[in-house]
Amino acid sequence: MAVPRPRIPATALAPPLHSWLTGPRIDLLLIVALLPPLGQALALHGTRLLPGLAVSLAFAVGWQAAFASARKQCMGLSSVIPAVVFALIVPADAQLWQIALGLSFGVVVGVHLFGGYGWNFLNPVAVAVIFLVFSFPEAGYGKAPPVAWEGCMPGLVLLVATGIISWRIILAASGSLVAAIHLLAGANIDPFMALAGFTFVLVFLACDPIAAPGTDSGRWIYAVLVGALAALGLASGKPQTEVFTSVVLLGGIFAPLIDYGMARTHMWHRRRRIGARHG
Amino acid sequence: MKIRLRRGLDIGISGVPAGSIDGRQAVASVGLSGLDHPDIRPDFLVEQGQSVISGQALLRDRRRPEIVVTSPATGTVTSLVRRDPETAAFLVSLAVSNADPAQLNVPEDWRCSDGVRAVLMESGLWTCLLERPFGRIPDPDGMPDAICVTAMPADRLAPDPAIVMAGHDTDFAAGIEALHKLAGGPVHICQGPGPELAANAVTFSGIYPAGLPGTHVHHLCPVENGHRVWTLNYQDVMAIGHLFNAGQIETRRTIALAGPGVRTPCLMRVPVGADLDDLARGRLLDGEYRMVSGPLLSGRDAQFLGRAHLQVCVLPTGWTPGKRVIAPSSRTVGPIIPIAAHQKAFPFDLPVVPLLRALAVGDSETARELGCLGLLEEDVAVLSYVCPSNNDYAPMLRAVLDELRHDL
Repeated sequence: MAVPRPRIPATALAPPLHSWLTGPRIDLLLIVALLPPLGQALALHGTRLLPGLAVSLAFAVGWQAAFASARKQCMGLSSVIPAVVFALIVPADAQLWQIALGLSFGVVVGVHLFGGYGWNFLNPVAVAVIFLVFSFPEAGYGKAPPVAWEGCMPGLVLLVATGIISWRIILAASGSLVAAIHLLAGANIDPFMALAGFTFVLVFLACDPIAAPGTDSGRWIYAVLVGALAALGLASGKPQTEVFTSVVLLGGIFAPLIDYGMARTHMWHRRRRIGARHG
Repeated sequence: MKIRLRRGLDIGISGVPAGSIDGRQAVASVGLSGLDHPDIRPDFLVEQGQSVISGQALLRDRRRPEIVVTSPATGTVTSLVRRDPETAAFLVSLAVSNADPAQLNVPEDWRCSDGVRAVLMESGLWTCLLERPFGRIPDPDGMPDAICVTAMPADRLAPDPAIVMAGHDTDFAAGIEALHKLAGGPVHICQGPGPELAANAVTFSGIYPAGLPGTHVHHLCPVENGHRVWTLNYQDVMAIGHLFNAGQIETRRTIALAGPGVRTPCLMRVPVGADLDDLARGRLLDGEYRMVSGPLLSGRDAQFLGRAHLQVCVLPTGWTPGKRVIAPSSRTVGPIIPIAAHQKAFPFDLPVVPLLRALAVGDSETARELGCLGLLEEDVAVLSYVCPSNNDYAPMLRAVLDELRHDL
């Protein structure tokens, strides 16, 4: 049965203030956090990166504009972020039409079908990369070398300090990745090399507030799950980028369930406390 | 007992009030708004243009006629509005001739539950009690499981209770004694760090919202099914004590006029419901201001000081102070993006984001199970402040609470 929406009374109780951290500013901070890895990639690949980046940006912004005008929503910078992250994850020499196709699938199926950025529940980049990995197995999308970890550190500090991403996910996912590699692969894989390769995906995909759970306890569970699954994938010999993006996608699919479980657990504890007091 | 709160929000703001009480500011008009008493359906006992004296009943509740709202000053009734179109609440305003306290005959044998109740009803001080859950004035024959006295500044612009209470210890003690007669359970006195204000006070330390009654109730006597807690602030306790000690209805409160728009932020003693323009006259910096009655995050833009408000925050319009706060300009409501800052700002032990989602879609059953009965509008103000969605959760919570109360 549908729950009727209660009438929200018109009152003069508008709250006086809002934090400076509004939706548009979150987008802006994420873009700022992406600048160092982008600069690093440009220094590494030179102008080879630019066509892919341009196609990604054009298609992400284009799809957003199309859906925003159809729904009469306003535009923001939110589509720039998946475009840049996607361009950094796919190989620099990838076919442009495949980039366009993958990104379109990611943002349309991963975001716009749900009503726009913030209403979705999966990270569009993870959707797009996994789509390409499965559609063009011979093109090597999963085998792209990971973005170097050094460039991600300023963004990590910025996003944790402003309260956009949770340090719990960073800590628990890194810890569980290193620990699980120790257990599963022994000396075959250097856990710290794996962690270095994981950093970009961890900060910009796994910590994405939309894709990760919204409860603190849920964040711990999600992060341990993502780290452990990543170690399992690496131990089976799969390439890093494929493993990391697919665990983020899998984690994102579980995140709403984890949140639901945490809310239910809280309700159960509450009922027990009430029962104990009344009994 | 000491309770240390680790979560919360540090609102950087200038204009903290100085420590001394600054003379008497002349107040020419006062007003009582139904926003402070949303559950009162008014039956006016006076007419427009009529002269009233301080402490005289102005209106009574239609459903619970024992509950009356009394005049905070002597003067003339200038307007009576049953339902203000903008706020959907009643409004009574008076032109003040003087604000001296009124006399009330307190019977000798008041030291029992019924005696205290009768005196509080007659004096109008009953309306300073707020019952949780739902945030209503308690029923005349209601019995709380506990009473929480908030003797702690709501935020850094509020007056320091130690300064206000200095020299009035006997009034406060008498007020606490009267509350003990009312309560079926304990009376908690919740104070901030510093010297003990009363015996057995509970000390809360931490950043905003460590000073809000909702936070205290949540940690001392959480409002679960069937439990009722009454809250009131320390100045109302002092007024109750003064009533029983001296037989006078004290209608003035010591409030802070503070914020970045004030020339010299200070404490002042003014009648309840004082006109904000009157009390800020000649004290503001040049420029355009908005005046917020009540705590910075949960107060309201108003003409008159709220019933329980102990501070007025003066903020220049369109102001972007320092680095932490912005004024809400052309707000568009967006999706709830669950950033880490949500949980960090909220000192209640409940899952914030599922609660916000339940409130935003009006799912009252889920909200109840997650613990929304322990909350009132002022408790979720901090979430409206941090949530990037620009949602205002206070009216959403009120709608859900009204629905739950209706279902009881």
